[in-house]
Amino acid sequence: MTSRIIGLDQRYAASASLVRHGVEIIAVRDELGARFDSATRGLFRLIQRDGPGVWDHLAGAAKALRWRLITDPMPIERNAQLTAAAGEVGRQALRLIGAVNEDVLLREIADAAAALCARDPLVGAVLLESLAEVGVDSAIVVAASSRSRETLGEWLGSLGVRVLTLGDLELADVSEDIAYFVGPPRFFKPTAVTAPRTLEVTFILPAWFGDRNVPRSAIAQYAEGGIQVAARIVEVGDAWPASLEPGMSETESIPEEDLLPQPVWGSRVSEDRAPNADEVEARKILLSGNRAIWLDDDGERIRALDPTQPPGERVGYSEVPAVAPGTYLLLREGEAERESLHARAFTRIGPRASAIQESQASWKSALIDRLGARGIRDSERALRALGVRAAGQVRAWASPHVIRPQSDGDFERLLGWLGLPVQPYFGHASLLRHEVHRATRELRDRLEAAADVADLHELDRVGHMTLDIAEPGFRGMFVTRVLAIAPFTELVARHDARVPFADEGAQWLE
Amino acid sequence: MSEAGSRSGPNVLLSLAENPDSEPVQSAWIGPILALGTRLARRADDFSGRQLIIAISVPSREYAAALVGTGWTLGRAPVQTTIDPLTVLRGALPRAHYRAVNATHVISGPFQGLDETRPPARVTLAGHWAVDRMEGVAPVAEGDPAEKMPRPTIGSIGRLTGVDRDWVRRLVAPAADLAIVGTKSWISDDLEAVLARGDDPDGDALATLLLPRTEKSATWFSRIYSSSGFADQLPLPDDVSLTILDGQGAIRYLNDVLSPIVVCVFDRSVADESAAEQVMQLRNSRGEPIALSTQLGWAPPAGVEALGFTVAL
Repeated sequence: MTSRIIGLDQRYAASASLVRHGVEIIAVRDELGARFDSATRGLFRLIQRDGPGVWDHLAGAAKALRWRLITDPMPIERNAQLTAAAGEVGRQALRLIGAVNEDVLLREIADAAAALCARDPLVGAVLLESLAEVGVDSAIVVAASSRSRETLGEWLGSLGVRVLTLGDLELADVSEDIAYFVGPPRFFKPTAVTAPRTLEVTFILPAWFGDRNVPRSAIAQYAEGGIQVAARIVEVGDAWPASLEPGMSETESIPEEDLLPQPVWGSRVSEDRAPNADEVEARKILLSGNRAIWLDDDGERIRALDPTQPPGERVGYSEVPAVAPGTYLLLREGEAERESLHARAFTRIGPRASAIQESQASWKSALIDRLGARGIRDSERALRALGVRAAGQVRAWASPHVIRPQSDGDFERLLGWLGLPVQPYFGHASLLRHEVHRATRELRDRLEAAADVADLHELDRVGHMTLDIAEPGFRGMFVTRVLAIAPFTELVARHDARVPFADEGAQWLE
Repeated sequence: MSEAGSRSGPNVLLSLAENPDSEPVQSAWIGPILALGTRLARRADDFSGRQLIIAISVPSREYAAALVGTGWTLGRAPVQTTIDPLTVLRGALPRAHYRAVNATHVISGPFQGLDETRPPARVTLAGHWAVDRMEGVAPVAEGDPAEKMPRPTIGSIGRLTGVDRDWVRRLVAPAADLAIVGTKSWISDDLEAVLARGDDPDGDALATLLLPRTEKSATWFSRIYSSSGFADQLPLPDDVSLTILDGQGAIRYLNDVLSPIVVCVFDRSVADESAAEQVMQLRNSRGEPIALSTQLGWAPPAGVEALGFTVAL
C-alpha cells in the first residue's frame, strides 16, 4: 500500500502533467467499422424521416453493435459479444426485408455487420501494439463498463496487463505511468482527465466515431489555473477512402448521442400548462428493481445513500437537480418519506397538532397570495431590501414541505412583510421543525445502522436492496440505483410524487 | 508559497506526514493550499456586507479542507482582551464561564470563587487551582464540553507562523469562527496528519492547529459537521466567519450557509457535476467575480483550479 500522502502527491503531479501535456487520442481507421457506421447512419436518417416504430429493434441492435465495436475490440475468436451483436443486426435486418421498402439499405446493414466478423478489430491490434511498446508493467487499460472490463481482462490479463473500470481505477494503487482508455472520452466520466491517476492518458477509438471532445472540469471556464486538457490526435490503421471521412456533411445531421444505447422515453403526454394546486411538474426516474418514481423539484431534498462514504455517514440527502444515473435513492414502499416524517412529528406533538397545521397553512397561503400578486422576482427584491438573507428561497418557503426559513431573522421579517404577527406562526413552525428534525434523525440513525449491516457490494452488483428495519413506522425502506431520468417533465398529482411504483421501462437497461 | 513560508525563505517546502509514525512528504501544493486559508483570514473584512465564495477544485479532497482551515486558524488573531489571571478573576462574575491555561492543562468551567485570603491565591473553576500557576484566563460565552484537557503544544508551524508567541491567548480566547462540513470520519483521519516546515522534526498535528470541538474539548478553534446529517443541524451558529464545504455532498448546502466567507472544495475524483453547476449558477446569476491573484494575492498551485465571487447577503 502506497502511503496516503505519496499517493495524493502523485494525483497532483498527474493532474498537472495532463494540463501541461494534454492527452493523446489514437483514432484507428477501420474500413469495415466505417462501412457499418455509415450504414447505421443511413438507417437513422430514415428514422428521422419516418419516425421510429417499425425500425426500433433494428436500431437498438445496430446501436448495441456500434457500442461493442468501440468498447470490446478483442480478436474475433474470443469476441462472442461482437459476433452475437452482429448476428442480431443481421437477423433484425432480414426480418424487415420485404416488410418495408428499403431492401438496399437493409441488405447493406446486414452485410456490413457480417463483414465485421471477418477480421479482428483494428482497435484491439493497435491497443496491443501500444502496450507492447510501453511495456505491460508501465500501462493500465481502462474499460468503458464492468462488462467490458471482464472481456478485455480475459484477453489482456494473460499478458499481465491490469484492466479496470474508471471506478476501479479511482480506488486502486496505481504505479503505472500511462493509462489506455478503450473508447472515446465521452464514454468515461470527466474524472478520467480532470483527476487522472497516471502521468499520461491515451484514448483509443475507431476513427469513424465523430465525437473526440475532451471534457473539462465544471468550473474550469471561469477558474484561475483552470483544468483544461488538450488532445493530440494521432491517426493509424487502414488507408482512408475520402468518402468515409467522418464529419462530412451527410453524417453531421445525426449526433453521436442519438447513436448510443439509451432508454426510449416517448414524448410528453401532459397538457402544456402550469400545474394546478394539486399537481406538480415531475420527471420520471427509472430505478433498479423495475421501479420508478415521479420526482418533483419543490426545493426539498430527497434522501439518498452514498455507498462510497464511511459507516455512519452514508445516509444523507440529495438536491433534486443533483440526482443522476448512479445516485442511490432511499425510498419507502407506498409513500413519500416526507409524509411519514411529518405524521410522526405530529403524533409526538399531540393535541397541538391541528393548531400547528392551521397556522402553517395560514402563513403559507398568505405567502402564495403575495407571490401571485407581486411576482417572484419582485417579492425576492422586496424581501432582500428588508434584510432577508435567503430571499432567493422565497418560492420554496411557500411549499408545504418546507417548514420555515432556516434563519430566525429571515422568518420574522418574512412574517412582517406578509403583515402577520410573529406569534403564533414562529413558535408553531419552530416546534414542527424541531420535531421533524428529531424524526429525521431517528430515521437516519435506523437507516445508518441498517446500512452498516447490509452487504453494500450486493447493492453495487444488483442495484437495489431492502433495508431491514422492523420497527413500526420505519418499515419498507429500500435503496435503489437511479438508472435514467426522463428528459422532460409531466404533470402528476402531488400525492403521487416521490411514491415508488412498479415500472418495466428500465428492464433492458440493467 | 504561503505568507508564512515566504518569511523564512522561498525555497522551504512544507511537509505532511500521514500520522506521527509515518514518513513526511515535502510537496509544492501543501503551502499554497494552507496559504489560501491564511489570506482569507487576513482579508476577511475586505468584503464586508457581501458573502465571499471561493471554489477550489483539487485532484482528491484529502487534506485540502483541513489545510485551508489550518491556514485560517493560524491567520485569525485571538480575541484581544486581557488574559492576566488575577486581573480577570478579580472581575469575574459568579457562574460565568472562564477558560484558564497552566503549564499542563486547559481548564474550563463556571467561576465559583477566588480565595485571596492567604497566598497563593486559589480559584475554584472546575476544581481548585493556584492562580500564580496560570498563564492566562479569559471569559467564554458558552460552556465547553469538557472541564479539563491536556494543554496542546505547538512546534514547527508555531515558530514558522509566530503563533507560538501568543499561544496561551489563542488557547483561552481563540477566534473560534471556523466550521468545516464534510465526511466527518474522513476529516478526522486528515487531522491526524502532521505538518512541518521542511525537515523540522517537531511538526504539528493538524488536529492541534485546527483544534476541533469534541466531547473532550475544554477549548476549541473550529467545529466539524457531517454533511450526512447537516440538514438537521441548520442553521449554522452566527459566530462562524468561514465555512469550508468539503466535497460535493457538503457543497449542496451552499445556499443554506450564510457565513461571510465560504470555501467550496471540489473533489475532482468524484464524478458529480451537479454541485459545480449549482455554484456556477450562483456565480453567473448573482455573483460579482473577484480575481484571486490580485484581490486576494493568491494563486493556485499546479493541479488546483480556483475561482472567487461575492454575492449579496
